[in-house]
Amino acid sequence: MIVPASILTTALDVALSTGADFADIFVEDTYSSLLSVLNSKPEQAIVGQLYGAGIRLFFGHEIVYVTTNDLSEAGLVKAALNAARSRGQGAAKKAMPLTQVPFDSIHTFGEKPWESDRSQKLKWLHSIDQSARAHSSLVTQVEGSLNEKFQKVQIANSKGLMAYDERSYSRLSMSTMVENEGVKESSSDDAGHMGTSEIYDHMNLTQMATESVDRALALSKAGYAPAGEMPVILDNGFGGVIFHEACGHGLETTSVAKNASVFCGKLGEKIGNECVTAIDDGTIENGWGSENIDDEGNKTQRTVLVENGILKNYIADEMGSRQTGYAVTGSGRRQSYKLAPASRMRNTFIAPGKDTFEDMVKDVDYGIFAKRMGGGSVNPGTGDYNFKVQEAYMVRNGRIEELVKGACLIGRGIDTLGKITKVSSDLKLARGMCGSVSGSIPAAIGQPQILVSSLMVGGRAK
Amino acid sequence: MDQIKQSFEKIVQQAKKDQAQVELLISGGENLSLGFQKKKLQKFESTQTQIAGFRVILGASQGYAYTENLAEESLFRTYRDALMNAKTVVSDAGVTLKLVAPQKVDSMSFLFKPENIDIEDKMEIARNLEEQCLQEDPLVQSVPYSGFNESVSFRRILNSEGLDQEFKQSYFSGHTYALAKEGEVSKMNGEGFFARSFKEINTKAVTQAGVKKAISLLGAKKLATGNYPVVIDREIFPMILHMFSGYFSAKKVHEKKSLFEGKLGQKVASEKFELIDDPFELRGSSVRPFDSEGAASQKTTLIEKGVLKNYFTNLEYAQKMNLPHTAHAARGPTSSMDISSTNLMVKPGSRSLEELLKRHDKVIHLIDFAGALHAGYNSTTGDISMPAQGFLYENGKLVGAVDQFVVSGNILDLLRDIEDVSNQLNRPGSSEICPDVLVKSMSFAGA
Repeated sequence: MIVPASILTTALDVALSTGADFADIFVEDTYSSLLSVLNSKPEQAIVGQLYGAGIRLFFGHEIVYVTTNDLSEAGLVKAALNAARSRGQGAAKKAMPLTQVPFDSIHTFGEKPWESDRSQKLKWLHSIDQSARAHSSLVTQVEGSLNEKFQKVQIANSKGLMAYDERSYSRLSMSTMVENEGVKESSSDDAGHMGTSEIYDHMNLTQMATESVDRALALSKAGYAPAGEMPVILDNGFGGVIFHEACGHGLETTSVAKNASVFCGKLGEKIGNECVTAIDDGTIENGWGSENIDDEGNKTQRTVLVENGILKNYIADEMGSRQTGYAVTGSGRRQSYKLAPASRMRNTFIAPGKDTFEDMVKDVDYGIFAKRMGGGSVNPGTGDYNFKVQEAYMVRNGRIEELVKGACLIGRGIDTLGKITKVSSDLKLARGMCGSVSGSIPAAIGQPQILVSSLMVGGRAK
Repeated sequence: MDQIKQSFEKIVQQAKKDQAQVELLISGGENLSLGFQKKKLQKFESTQTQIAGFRVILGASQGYAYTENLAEESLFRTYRDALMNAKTVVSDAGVTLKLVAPQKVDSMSFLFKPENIDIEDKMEIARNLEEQCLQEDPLVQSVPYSGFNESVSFRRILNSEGLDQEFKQSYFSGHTYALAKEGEVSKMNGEGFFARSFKEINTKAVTQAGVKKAISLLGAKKLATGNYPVVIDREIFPMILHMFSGYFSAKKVHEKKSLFEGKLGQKVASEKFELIDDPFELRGSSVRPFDSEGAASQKTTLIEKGVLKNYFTNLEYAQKMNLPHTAHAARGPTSSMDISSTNLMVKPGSRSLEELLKRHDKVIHLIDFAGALHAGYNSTTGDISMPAQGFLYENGKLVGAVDQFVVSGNILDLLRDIEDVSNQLNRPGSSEICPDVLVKSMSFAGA
């Protein structure tokens, strides 16, 4: 526990003193550490602590949110009073007695980031740097960084819920820059999980580094992708960004409640091809976007979003549920106590299908195979999305051919779902950071390989 | 003497024993955010933040640590963490880093004028940002995103050389995004504002502009693939500036991450393109009297008649690379020292936007990019590839809205291909201040 239950009860009672019909308190104590290597030397070492609370009040569909760094009884009561006075004029209510939410953690953690050996962390980063530089003399720069975060959260609400959980994140990232006959290129990669850093002892970091160099060198010799509409095969893993952007954001009640999603009112309707089943699952052991409980204290769930092309569920937080009537899915998430929670994706993926990758390639006369994706964005109101392809190959007459660069894919979510014609059985998940109204949070994305019969490819016009 | 200064002076004494130099950056503020949805208050957020970040220098090595607990014991613990981090880092031999010496700096106190505005008046602004959009045109179906912010921010820097200076400012900002629908086609677009006094806020102008943008794009047609001359609207050219502003950083040049490496004194853009960095320009949102290590701000010429004149430096990189010190140190309490721009200003030209649109038989007037920075730009190569929306003009006459295309090119080519810039600047409140920009040719992938 970060704050004793008696103090939280007092603060909740104060929060309810002017007519709010619900109040909750999110308390956070987060340790963060960043170590980086640049120019083959330790370049950055930063550690820090975030420590504060957010108090949220519901007046019907209205939300009041205040934050404080003062976690003493006086500090929390003052913040709760500020929140209550800002809106309410109604009758005071009392919070229910707090009862701890029981759960068994689905995650296992090793040594906490402040306990573990810093020299070992630098060893991993140096090994990446050395492996990349040894692999090619054309490497001009290597940057490696290890980000670790250990977040303790405590949530209490006026319905009597109290929960405490610990979440640990570790991510080791690298980028390589090369210069080949005057052409500069770069490539990046990462490893990590919801957990602690000992996993890198069992990973082949040399392979990650050398593959990154090879990719950058290949890109430095590649021509530009063509432009226009064509079939696109998206690889498994990070290829799942297409569902995340094309549909996932539009299924969050944050958009649905505002009638700002093309998927509003389509529950039970066919929104995609029959081969598409998509799931948002917060219950994967040590999964990048997993949680035992969400930031509203609700147990996280596995939510089937689309089943055989039919829209089955939205992703709902407490206020989203109140506004839309759809059940809470344990998806209330936020970057930190500084932001109120919102309905957000967790580990979101297209489920395995029955097709094979080889069959997809055979189906394409002229198109591209998008092997590695970059970032993307979506306008939830219109469903228009776009994302960058970091590594793409031409596909001609059923064969994968040369590497091309500079490709970007654009489309409209609901159109794309209907154009997914094949889904392979080889599901993979990948790590991403998702930015939206409640900040930047870890979210996994994933899919098996899929074939989209036609997508706009933004390359260079001939 | 305030409590922070007292604690810091004790830490300075400890740092002397540790043979270290120490700098403390504290920033924070108060923010009130209000937003309405379907005529009901949907968001009332009141946040107060303060965070302290230490930088400890041991010879040429720098370590960092931060905390939100400003009690003396916590500050001491954080100082020790930063000291330990400085011992971890390995720096270039032969360079001894310095802190900024105390100096007289105009605190620009006229920018801190908190107003005692009644809460109902603030609610009215937030309410209008939604309602006036809905009233503006029947095609507006909803206003998914709108909000009003009242902000006070502060930044204080103390160091072991005796420097102690603070900058405070207050301002108002807001935005509104309307979703317009006609048949099965939806378009969402909007507008924002930035004001240093409450009476400057004109929600009607903001909502009219936002709705106009959303509605004007309804009925957009696909564009035939090809190369077209393009006018990049002054409201979105800031995104282009943002893409290459990092190339001016001496740190990025030193780390071989800048496409302007080795190009000082060389032509990097068209002669029509002149760019300065002005931390005192009040139209901009990045006004500041001193940089993130306390050095007095100054104007810097970056590109003059297309020639690269300066890189941005802080004390460390001015010394390391033997360059003029431009006072562009940039960091927050939770981050390490970096270098970045303040208000980038493109010098306006003499012709109107309408005149630029007549310069070629066909011109695309781009008014919106999607996902530009993290999804459509590769800073290593300068390659741009992003969806955009706009209007097709033929012989200066509007043909119609166009969308569902990707515009691509390379940032260095774009800079060289600038044919002209307009005489009108974008609305205040951005840290990039610029006119409309006519570019000879870019690649469009459409139908």
